Amino acid sequence: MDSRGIAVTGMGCICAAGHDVDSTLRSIYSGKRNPVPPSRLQVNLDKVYPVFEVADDLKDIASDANRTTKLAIVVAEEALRQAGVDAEVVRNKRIGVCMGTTVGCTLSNEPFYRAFKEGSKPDLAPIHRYLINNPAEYIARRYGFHGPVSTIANACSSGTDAIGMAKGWIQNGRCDIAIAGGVDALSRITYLGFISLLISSTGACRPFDVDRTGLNLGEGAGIVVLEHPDSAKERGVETFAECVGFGCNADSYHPTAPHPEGVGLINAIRRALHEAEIEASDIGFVNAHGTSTPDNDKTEGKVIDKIYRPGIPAVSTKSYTGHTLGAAGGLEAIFTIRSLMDGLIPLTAGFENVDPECGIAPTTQLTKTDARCAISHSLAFGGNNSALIFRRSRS
Amino acid sequence: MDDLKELKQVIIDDLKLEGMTPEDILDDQPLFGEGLGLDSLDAVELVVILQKHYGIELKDMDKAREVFSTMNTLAEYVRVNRKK
Amino acid sequence: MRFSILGIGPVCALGSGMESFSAGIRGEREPRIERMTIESSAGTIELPVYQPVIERMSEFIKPRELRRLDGFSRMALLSAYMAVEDAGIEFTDPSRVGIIFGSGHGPVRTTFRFLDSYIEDGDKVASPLHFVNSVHNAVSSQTSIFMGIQGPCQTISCFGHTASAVLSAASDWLNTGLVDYVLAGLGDEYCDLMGYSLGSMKAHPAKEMHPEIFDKCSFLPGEGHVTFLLARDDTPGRAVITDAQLRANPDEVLLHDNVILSANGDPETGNVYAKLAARSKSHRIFTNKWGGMPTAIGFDLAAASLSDDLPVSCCEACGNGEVNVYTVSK
Repeated sequence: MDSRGIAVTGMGCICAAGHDVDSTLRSIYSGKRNPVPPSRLQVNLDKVYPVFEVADDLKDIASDANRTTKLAIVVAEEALRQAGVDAEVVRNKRIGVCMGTTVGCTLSNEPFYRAFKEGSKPDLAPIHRYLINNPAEYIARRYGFHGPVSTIANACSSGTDAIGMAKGWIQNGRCDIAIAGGVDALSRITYLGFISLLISSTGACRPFDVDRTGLNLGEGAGIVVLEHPDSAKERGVETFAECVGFGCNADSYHPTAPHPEGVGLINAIRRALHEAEIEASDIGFVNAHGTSTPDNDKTEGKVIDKIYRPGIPAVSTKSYTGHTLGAAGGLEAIFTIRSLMDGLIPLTAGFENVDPECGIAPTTQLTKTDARCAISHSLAFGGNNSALIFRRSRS
Repeated sequence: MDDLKELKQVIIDDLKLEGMTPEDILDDQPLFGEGLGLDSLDAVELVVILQKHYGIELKDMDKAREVFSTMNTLAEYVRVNRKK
Repeated sequence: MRFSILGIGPVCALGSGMESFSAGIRGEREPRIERMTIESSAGTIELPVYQPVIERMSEFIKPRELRRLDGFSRMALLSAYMAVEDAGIEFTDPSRVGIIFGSGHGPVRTTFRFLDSYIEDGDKVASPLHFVNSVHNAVSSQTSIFMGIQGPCQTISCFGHTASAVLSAASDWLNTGLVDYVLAGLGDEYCDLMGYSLGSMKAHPAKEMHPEIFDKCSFLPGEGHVTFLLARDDTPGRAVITDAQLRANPDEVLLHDNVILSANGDPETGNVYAKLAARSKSHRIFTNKWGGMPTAIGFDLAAASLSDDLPVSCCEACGNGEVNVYTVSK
């Protein structure tokens, strides 16, 4: 195994905060956000649970793609353009695709199922569409990539896990370049599911705040182009950051609640630090999972307080994107990298008062940083915990 | 008493307490932890069960914790608040 | 790709565990096939479906502990326990064991049960329990919870690329020293909506599977889960996977004398298998013992490990006219 850091040579994102990486970061650094009642989901509930939507209907993107896949395509285009991956590179390099998602690989078209349930024998078009819309498979087919293909369905840590797995592919010689990240569109299934668990908030989310009442769902996609350092050098492309560490560990505790002491998260962070060959004190800031649910923030806050240097800046960018589920790890990897590059950590919107049970105060203003390394956490249902460490390039 | 038995059966069915009968659930036994052994995921399902079977909306988890402490407290809450 | 297979837990139409499975491979046990009546768009049809035979569950898990697990999780968990039992080992350090499960479609029946909960009784009473179980990684995380495993825990869902992604990751985790053992699982579930879709696509589904006929549709759906307990290749076990050629061209791929084809009576992939059959010295097909599913190659690998004539090349069409070939050796 090659233990060098893996180069990040391209990035692409779309979310409620912006339609590409630059516009998203501008918006996030401004501290503004825009949770709205869901406009594309028809639901019959007494209360409104706001979401973070992508405004664009994406009508002009690939007509055979569903909304989740369309979000992935938009973002893949941006990332591949930035990384200079053109037809010639596709011919000459082994390129893999690893995408995290929750709804993107699910057989669950509701109108079709309702019609089937009523016995009205619906047309099979939604089934055919499902069969060609697996996110990683679709992207690999669209661009003619010949490397490994994988869609990770590991709930809320899927995007982080996808980048970690793609990093492993490159280190173990399975491919030269990998398109990796996460994608999810808003869906009635996840919307009603999170409300049923009583962890959705009727107000804008407030990560780590003492009065937080739950999360807001969001939608989007975030993809990085990972590349073997030799390949990036040979192609003469810019390396924005290096992906230097990944860790993933199970709590082995409960289907929905995190381990109260964060056992799995601590193990995942330690593993990522070990891979990166650095100490916890070398981490400059944390992009927290920070869902704004009572349980998550309590466990994660305790772990941040315990593991890193006192007063380390921690931000929850979910306060601008909502919880985008499978996309979250992809988006947050990009925000982490850009914060390293820009020397700026966003403020955590919605946070006002410290919760003594969390034990940390996240950023309350746009914060300057000269950090070289930063970490992004993801915690998922079932007790999956993942962490990714990025290092700023020397330029 | 029949109402209590019916409520117990609903809980057994919807929380899939396999192999249990209403007689196995004691009226003053705690529902959570060491008692019947339910947990936080059962609690949110219990909220849905009350809504579905009795038309009761109970979304405040602090209130729910109080209501869900034993079978007796739950049955009393259902008796007073049921809409169907 | 390189690792040793220490234990296998197959749960499929032939039964649960290696004893039932090998009896089925020898032809001493017939698969369980249920004939489903389907109101398809072409009228009322009968669709034979391979259904798993669940055996010995209570030896591993108390019935009360199963209460929140759906059928898919139960099947997968049973196969995981059986893989460990088959290997005859005990995990001493739970953080040195990884779990990676893959499924083409995931827990589909529970997904639709969740939809049922709000379609039938209203959006306000969507069932949190069904929602939690409908998430693809419910199965792998329940396994980590039940078995006390605290290493990496991943879930893959990528149709024809599912098995290759699962086994590649398992191999990398072992060979880079991330963990000492991996529980690698592959499985899929049948649901009524799938039956309707299949029945409507093929107006007259076959009465039985003939996967050895590559150009005629005889696809029948199956349900099952197989878990492998894997370790580095220097650990003695049932067999060793010594190599994989992934996304390869069926005209160029290297094949050993003995070949197992995962052909399943789907003419869309039949041409890939026809090419491989023409190029192999001798080939066998077992898919009509467990039915068609995106992760069926798992059962082929289990069958190969029973062969007394290794190495065997196990081949699965992975889409796009390409093939994955896994070499199972002594």
